[in-house]
Amino acid sequence: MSGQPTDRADRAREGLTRRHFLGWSAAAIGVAASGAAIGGCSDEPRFQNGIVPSGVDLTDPYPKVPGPPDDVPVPGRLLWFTTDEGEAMDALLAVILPGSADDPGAREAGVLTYIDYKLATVPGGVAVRHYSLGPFAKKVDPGTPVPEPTKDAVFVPKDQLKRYGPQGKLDAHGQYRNGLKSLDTFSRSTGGAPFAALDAGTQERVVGALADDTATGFDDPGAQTFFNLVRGDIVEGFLADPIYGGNRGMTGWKLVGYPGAQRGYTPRYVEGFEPELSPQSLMDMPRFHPGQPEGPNVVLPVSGSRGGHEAAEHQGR
Amino acid sequence: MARQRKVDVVTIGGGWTASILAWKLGEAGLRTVSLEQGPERWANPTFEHNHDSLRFSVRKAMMVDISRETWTWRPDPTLPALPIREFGSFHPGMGLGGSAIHWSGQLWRFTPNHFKYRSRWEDHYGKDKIPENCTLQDFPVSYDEIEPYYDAFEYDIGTSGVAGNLRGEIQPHGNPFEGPRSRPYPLPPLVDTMWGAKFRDASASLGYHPFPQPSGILSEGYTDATGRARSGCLYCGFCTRFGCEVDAKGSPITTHVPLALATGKWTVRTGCYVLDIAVDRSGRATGVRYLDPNGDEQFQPADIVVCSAYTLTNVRSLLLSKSDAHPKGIGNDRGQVGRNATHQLDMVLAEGLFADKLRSYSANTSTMEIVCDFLEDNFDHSDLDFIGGSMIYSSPGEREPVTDAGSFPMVSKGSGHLPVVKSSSGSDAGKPPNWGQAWKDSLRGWDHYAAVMIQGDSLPYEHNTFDLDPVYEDKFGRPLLRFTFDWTDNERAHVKFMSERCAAIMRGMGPTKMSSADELQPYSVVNYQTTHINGGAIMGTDPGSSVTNSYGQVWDTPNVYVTGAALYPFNPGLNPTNTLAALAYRTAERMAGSDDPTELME
Repeated sequence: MSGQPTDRADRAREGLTRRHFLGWSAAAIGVAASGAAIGGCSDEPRFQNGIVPSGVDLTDPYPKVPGPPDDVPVPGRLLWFTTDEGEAMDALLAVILPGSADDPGAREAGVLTYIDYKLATVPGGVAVRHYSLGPFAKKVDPGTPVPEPTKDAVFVPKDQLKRYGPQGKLDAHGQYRNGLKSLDTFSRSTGGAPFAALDAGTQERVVGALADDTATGFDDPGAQTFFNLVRGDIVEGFLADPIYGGNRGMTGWKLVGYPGAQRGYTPRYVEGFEPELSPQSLMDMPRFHPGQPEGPNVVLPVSGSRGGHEAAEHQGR
Repeated sequence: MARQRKVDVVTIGGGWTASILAWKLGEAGLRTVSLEQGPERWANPTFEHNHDSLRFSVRKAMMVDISRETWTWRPDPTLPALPIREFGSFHPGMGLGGSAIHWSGQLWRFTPNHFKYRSRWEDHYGKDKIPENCTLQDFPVSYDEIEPYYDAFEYDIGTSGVAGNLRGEIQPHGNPFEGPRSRPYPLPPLVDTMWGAKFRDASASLGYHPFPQPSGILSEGYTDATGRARSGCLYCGFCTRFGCEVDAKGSPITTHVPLALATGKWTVRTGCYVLDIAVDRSGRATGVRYLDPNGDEQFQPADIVVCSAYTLTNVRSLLLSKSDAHPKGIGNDRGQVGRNATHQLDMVLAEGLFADKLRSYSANTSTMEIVCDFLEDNFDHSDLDFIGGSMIYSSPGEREPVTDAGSFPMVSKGSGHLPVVKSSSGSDAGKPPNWGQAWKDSLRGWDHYAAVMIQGDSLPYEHNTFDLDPVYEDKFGRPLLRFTFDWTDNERAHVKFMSERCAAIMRGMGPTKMSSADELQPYSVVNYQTTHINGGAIMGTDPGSSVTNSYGQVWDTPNVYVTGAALYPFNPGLNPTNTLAALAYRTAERMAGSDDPTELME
């Protein structure tokens, strides 16, 4: 996408390598440059002051937690959902968070693009690090004796299970695939057509049954679990930064009244005195480096009488 | 297994207490190696372009890798324990600086009464006032002993606030219930907010004593102990769960990591995952076994081993370190490791919608007003059916819609589920709408919202414990730590009492709509509570009822130390950071001055 800063290229140009940084760090705290030696971790013939190992990308120390894609995902092209699934999802989004051209909702904000891209690019469709080893929980009826755990199952009274958080075996891929299949079956038995082809009233009844957990034919995931999965992804796609493909035109942020990624707010602003800022995406937020000169788009620290200028100059040396 | 060069001290974790010890011990000439499971990171360049709520708040980029190691939980022994598969009630971090990079900066001193908590209740209300099965103990140090270390830490990192008690003189606009401090805060308080002002006016008109949250975030530029001038806060709204790009938020990487590196005596090895503590035949620690970034096993010999990680990691490290000399783990010869496990009451008890937009997305999680009129024994408990208390606070700033619009307008923090706007038809009648046009319309009020909340104490009980899980294992086949925890009648009565106070304050704040909760729901790991899990390896005066002495030295293995909130005999309902740092200062000073810190120090 034109105009979007590409992090990697910018960094290369800025020369913000680890070596550059450590040079500054050592100078700033008065350590002799030769004292902060960097060496390997496994073979250490003598004591080395400093942080090892070297070669770590300091600008992305969390590679296992997906950040923004290099390019904003393109709307209208499904990477993971089948065409039928995509149509059902599109209709589902429009019922759960409805909209129109004048008052955009999930469909208009590109939430389907966000969800589809996440499922296509993140392993299993789950972007949060999570524990996926067994054994998995098995429900027993409340009041009946709870059997001892085996190596395949741990038994829990049905009414207590929700206190433990998600305990299912399926990842998001499995839950979407199964859930949409159950939705299709339930829609056909309720209204005689796939969900996307139902009339508005029937679609609302179907979604109500998902939300209330009364829809039949949902096994794994259950109807309400599937509803919560879709709704949770709608919130992400509607309100996360547009850099991820949803929240198109920052419609979600405009609805809730949120200015998005700003460098900062002055104390006067926080207190309610200055005009409220318009939403801004991370891709439009000016980059900030120590020593960067103050300008119309760059707010250096302003909150104190001895504030940021001094600090910025100090860091910039 | 490769053997590293022997050093004086090895710490498990590279966070705040580790860097404090490495600094003070380094200046005394001791060499320290810290093994940190996460990556290196700094304000620049790591945090310079991080205003991304999805990656950091939703996907929790800075938190520990629970795909490798998580925890199991059960409410009580009659129910099975299951693993926490997705982040829920607490969010420990990893990486250089630990959780103190993504923390909120809320900086509390425990009160003089907190340090002698059991004695306080017994002396004033009799022994029968202590709830059944409650194992509450006093700290083995007093407020007066710890005050100089609080003071040093507050000035070393730079802190913002209004003193309430200056050398015994009560000061206006501060917290009149705090212990005497020898100096005022180095900096004035953080910005006054619209929601905070409403809370302050409402609580003052009820006769309470509101004051701004004391904070480790700089309100103005400040030259800290490193000699470097740091920026004041930008109030950017990306603070808790984020690293600060201008170093306004005090943290190990702003201050103690540079100080420790400057001694020339500290090595931090990142990406290193500790397996256990090794002991010799007599039961003394000889070093730690760990996996390096390539997954190869290494041994780091040391005269002293410090468990300086998160509460749960420290307790698990002790329990996993089994040997012939310590068959139940280090520190556990008398069965004390894992006892006195506490969490914290932290919940929304009243919420309201207001006519004006509040800009609640701005500022940070330290920008709030507080009353301590109902903390610890600041109010008469003679006719009450509980002990303990809460600080009551306004909701803070830096709200992010992607994290809380999903539960809006029903807030589900802790156990408080409170409808503000009710659905009038269908099966959702009486519940707030969570889909359709009604939900969408409610989202338009997102920035018109404020809450009144409590952070209350959690007392230790016989039945709330940590131990090794018999079923679930980490990625390397070793048992996970099992947390057995639920609330009791004492906390239920506590919350009921606080609810009425919170509702009264909210009414005074002038909302157009409001609601309040009056019942504490059973504990659950689903919703975020706080990361302030305390206890499990508590300090005390008696080896028969504690794990360490007042320096965190393990009674049965004196060359093993524990730092952090695992040492606290209970949870006082205040954020733990200031106290764990002050205790680390005290321990480091004592170690540096000792002829032999591998033996029990008086």
